[in-house]
Amino acid sequence: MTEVLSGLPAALGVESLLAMLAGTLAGIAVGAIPGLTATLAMALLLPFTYTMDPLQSLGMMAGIYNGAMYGGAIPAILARIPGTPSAVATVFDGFPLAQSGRAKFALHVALVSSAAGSFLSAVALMLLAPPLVEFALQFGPAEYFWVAVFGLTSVSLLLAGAPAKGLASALIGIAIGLVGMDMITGAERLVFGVRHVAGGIDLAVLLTGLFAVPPALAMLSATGKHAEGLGMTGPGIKVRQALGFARTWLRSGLIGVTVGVMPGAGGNFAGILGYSEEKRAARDDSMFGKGDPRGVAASECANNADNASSLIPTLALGVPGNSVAALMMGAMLIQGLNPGPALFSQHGDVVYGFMWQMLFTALLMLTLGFAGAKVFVHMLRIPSALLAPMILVVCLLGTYASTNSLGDIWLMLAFGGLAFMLSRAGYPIAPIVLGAILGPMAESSFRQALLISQGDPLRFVSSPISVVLVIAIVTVATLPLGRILWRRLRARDARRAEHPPPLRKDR
Amino acid sequence: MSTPPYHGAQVGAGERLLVHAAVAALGGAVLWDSFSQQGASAYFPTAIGCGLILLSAVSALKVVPRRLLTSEATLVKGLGGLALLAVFALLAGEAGFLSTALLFIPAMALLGGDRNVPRVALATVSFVALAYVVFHVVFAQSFPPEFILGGR
Repeated sequence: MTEVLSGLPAALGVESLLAMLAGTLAGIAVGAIPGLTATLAMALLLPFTYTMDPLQSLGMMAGIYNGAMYGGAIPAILARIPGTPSAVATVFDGFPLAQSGRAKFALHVALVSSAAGSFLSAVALMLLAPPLVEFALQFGPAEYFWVAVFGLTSVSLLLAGAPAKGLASALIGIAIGLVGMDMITGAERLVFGVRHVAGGIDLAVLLTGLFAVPPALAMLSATGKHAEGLGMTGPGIKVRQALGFARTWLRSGLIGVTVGVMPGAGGNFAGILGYSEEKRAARDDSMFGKGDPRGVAASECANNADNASSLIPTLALGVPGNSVAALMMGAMLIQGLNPGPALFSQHGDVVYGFMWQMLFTALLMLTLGFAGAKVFVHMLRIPSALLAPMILVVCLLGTYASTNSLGDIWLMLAFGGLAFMLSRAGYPIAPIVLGAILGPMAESSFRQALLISQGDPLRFVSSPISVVLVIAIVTVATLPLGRILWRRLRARDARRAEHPPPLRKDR
Repeated sequence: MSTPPYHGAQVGAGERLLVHAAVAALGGAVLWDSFSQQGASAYFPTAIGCGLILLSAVSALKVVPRRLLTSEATLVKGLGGLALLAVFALLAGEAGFLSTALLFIPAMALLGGDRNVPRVALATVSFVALAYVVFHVVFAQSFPPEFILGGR
């Protein structure tokens, strides 16, 4: 606990506070605009963080992450459009509440529940990451190799509708991560004569291209009309009413934290699971779907409780479980901070300071959300066809500002085009980023383990941790097969129920 | 009650097959490069190359002959947007980022279907002025010289 407290003074510095304030404001505003997500906002910011102090950069990212998750509830409640994918379940009861003239109350329920979820998640991060780091100290290269493979397979298989496409995305990412010089022999790999990439591909360039360009292009295909929502009608929430949601927050918070730690799952899954569990646990669930505030509270608390907890494996093991965690890891790598056990001993003030920033941005979100509700509601009216080119110009400016190279602008465009075409064909994008980050880690661990064992492959399954990880990988890899078999069995049962076989007549 | 801003685009089987073929070609290129590597340097590229070819073949075999819905931009607007971005990148080195943005933003807004000329003009000028203040004045970032704003 002493170590955790050591990060507090740094997180409370003026520059850190200003960064958190700016990030939270930007996050809520971005989340409130349908089509813009935390991932996009963080990808846009990333190239500008090169010149920032680590806690300035991470504070801003923390604010965007927490803020955007709440911001997504605004169009979900007022216009029946989830501002971010995580706010899907908020629509079910949020919009009926707004329709019945209680829009302000619904927005306030979403706000206090989001803050409660973020707060619980930050506490979980502070409590769970240090013990995981202690455990990770037992890991050698073989164990790190399996951890990277586990992170890649689980995210690729769980995120994609089709497992082959998810795995292919991860392999594309690994190939991108290997471009440049081989770290052991110094030989050039996958450069194909392009001198510009001989030193490797800049992570910020890759992330901006993959996560910012396709959503901005999708905004061009919007109808041209901006979304118009309902007004901020009715009275707001009272303290007593807010405290009445305590049990919902505890239940949904635990769900969100658990989902966050699992690789491949995300805020949207947490929100839907939190909502379903709240409905199941309710004594009277007749109002769910018709404007029950518990539905809004459960969804928003769960999707925000996923935030900080998804960073537990990222900080402790260096294995991001989703695209936002990958972006956060990108922001750390840009600052020269390598997530993993060494980070906690070498840069304790930064890593614990960042945990406090995740907690403080939850409180800032509460203050800014109440104070600026009327302003954020207007974000819905910004025409998407006008916003898209502005986002793209910021992408280009940011990419150039980070590397001072026009070549990187072309590279960013190439990644944007690649992500656009792959997405249209059903390939998920997040595994590409995870592959680019985890691929080189997996390769270096693999080769280190081979060197240590003098080429003995049994080294990879010689420790109990490695065996457990291999079993986990096999389990995750066979999940899609299990799902297919389960669907076929259910379809066969349904067919039998519709057309029962003729009864045999006994003679 | 408003309608959601975007309902998604349709993607034909031909386009999906083309993308799977491109993924296989990428795998082939990675595999080809791995032949020039020695020892352990070649392990990962070889595995990735083979994996990409195999997985794209699996995806191609599973292509269904009907159009599927995607949340991405339509092909015309997406490729149009990328082409405009390429023109931007070409001009930005010569005329400067913000000067090029004065043309790029209205062109993209037009591609997105925004025909409100006064609004587009006002938003473009306001955005460029704000970007000039933030990047050139406040943060003093070094960008290629501007044709209009920075003088040559």
